[in-house]
Amino acid sequence: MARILIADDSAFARLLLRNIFEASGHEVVGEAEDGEEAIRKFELLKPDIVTLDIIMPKMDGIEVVKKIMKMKPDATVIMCTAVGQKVKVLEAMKAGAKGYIVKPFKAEKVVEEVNKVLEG
Amino acid sequence: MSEEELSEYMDEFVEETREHIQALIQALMKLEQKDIDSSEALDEAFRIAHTIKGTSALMGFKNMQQFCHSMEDVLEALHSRSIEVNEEIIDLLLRSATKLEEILKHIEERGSDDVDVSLMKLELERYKERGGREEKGVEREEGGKRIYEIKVVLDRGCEFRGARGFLVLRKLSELGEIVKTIPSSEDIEEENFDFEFKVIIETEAREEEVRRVFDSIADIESVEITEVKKRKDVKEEYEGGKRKEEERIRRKKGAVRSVRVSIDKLDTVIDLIGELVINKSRLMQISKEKRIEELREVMAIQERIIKDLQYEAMQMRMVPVARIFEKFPKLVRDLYRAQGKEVEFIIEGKDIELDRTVLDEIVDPLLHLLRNAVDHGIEPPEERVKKGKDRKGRIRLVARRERDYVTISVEDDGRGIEVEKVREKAVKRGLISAEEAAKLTDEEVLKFIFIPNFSTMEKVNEVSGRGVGMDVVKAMIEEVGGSVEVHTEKDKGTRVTLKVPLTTAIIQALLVKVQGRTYAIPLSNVNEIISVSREEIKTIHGKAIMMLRGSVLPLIMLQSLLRHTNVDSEEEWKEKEEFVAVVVEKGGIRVGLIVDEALKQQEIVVKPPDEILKNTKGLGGFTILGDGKVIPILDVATLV
Repeated sequence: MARILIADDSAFARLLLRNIFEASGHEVVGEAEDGEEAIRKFELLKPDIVTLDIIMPKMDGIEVVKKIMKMKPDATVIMCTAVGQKVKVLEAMKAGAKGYIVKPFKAEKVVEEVNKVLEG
Repeated sequence: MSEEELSEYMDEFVEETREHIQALIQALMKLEQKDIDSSEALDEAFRIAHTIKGTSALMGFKNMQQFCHSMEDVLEALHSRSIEVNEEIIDLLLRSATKLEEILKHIEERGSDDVDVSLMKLELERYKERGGREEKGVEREEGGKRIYEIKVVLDRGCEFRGARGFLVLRKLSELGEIVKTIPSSEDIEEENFDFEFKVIIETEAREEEVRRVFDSIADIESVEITEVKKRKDVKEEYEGGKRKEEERIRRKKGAVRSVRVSIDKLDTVIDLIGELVINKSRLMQISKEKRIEELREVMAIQERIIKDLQYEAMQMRMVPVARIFEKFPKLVRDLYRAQGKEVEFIIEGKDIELDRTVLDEIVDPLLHLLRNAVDHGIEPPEERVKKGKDRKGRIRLVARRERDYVTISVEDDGRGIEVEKVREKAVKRGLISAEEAAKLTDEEVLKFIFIPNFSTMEKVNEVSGRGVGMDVVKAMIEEVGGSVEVHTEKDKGTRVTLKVPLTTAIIQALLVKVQGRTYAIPLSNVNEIISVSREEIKTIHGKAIMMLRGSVLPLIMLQSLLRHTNVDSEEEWKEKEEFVAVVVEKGGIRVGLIVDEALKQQEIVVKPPDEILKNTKGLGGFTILGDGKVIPILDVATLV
């Protein structure tokens, strides 16, 4: 069981993820609508995992990863991406993200990713 | 590859492989030198054999490929020290390299590698077996490091395989050093693979620990982990790969910075520049005659530009002498070994550059000289020891750049030429009288060895210890406008120095006037210009001669030579009180050519005579002077 922070500008996406995580026994400790909020909440809530949408207002996901990595180098960040963001995803991984999940979300894939990342 | 593609690459393949074989031979030769760490040379040899194997496989030359493989096996066994480096093996490998040359030649000439290599292959294989290559068990690196080859297959449904691959590599790198990935890590990140890639990693971790890494990564369909046998193999392959990669990049870069141009095209450019030079002289002349100051200024600049252009064009034809020198060590080695001699062969100045045409012309003369040095110069070891010399003889091949020519000398520390015997022989052959001979200096006596068939009349080594084809050497070197000098000292050795011009396209010439016509004599043939008074001229057997610093100099009227009558009429000699003689020397013969006037020394562009005039005696070509006049260049060798 992990404490998860979800950052996505789409409320629908956040809801979807919340349902998937809660159904697989994880706890969603917070949600953020943009990059800046994500950072604030990360500091405040100290989640085990942050899921970050790549495209977000105010500060994009990649910037957020970089900031988080500076704050807590062993933080576990999972990127949420849409198909066709190959370059961005790789960039995020290089910035320190531990994994990625792809929209449209498939529950078993998302769960697998989270569980695997937690293994490491 | 298709036939068409193959033939497209054929030239490149042949050229490249030829270079590789040379490099291989050099590496093998290095193995023989005991003071050098052999492992580097072995690495090099192995790598080259491997490369040749690879490229010949690409071209579909199976026979060559397999042969290289056999060589590789032996080299590998040597490397792993399961067999020791010894002369016999090096010899076998060198012979194999020669075989490779043979195969390559066959490929070049007939397009097939169908050369019988079975015997030599057998020999190679026998060696490998004798070495008993150890392949049992896994060799552990010190410190318990292991090498694993990991085959990773990603899930078919995996999105962003590049990012996933990156995550795998990052995770694995936490365990140890990633030695290699297939494809390269960049290609993995760029998704230049389907669903599968390989990672070779050096780590202290056990297999289970490696496997556990994949528990924390999603989208993995399967992982196969195999422990690799020898660390060396992988490293070597990796290093080789890396080097190859570097080479590829270097080549790529090189390809941008250089283009291949056929020598013909280059010659045309040089020819055209030659025309420019001629035209320039003409313009200069006009500006001088018409006293046009402005034109003169422009021409001064023009002259400089043309000079630079000419220089650059000449540079383009320049090739380092290494191109031909590289072949010599093996050749010399073959020679002295066949005779049971011991020789240390030293090459200096490989980077010196020469015009390609000149370079091609001096190969044979140099071969002659090296052969002479080994055959007749260097004594057998026992004889050397008796003389108090080092058992091992020494031959030095040295190229040096002087102002506008290059000297290449072949020097040995052998028995030297016995000058007295040459002197005796010259008398015996009736070339000079005994009194004359006695007066000649050693240096002058030595010139006799350049006379055709002089020393080959008897058993060469008894007479002079040298002399095989010295006339040929001299003739060939003079052909390119060079000269040959010999220094020798009894029991100390002999040094033959070839002095060759940087290029043959432009030469320094002396312009002379005979009966109102101008002729050019290559300056390389001219010793000096002297003035001769009628009293000095004597007649022997109806031929005019004079004494020049104690030796006989035959005098010939150039005009009579040009009329192709070798008889000088009495009248002509009586016409004047004072004559101008150009002392020319070629092929060991020295004569004074009587001309009306020696005009000046000038740089001329040589235009070879065309087919019809090619065999005209005394004609070496033409040049066009500044005033547009076409002037014949005299070929002293055929003239006299």
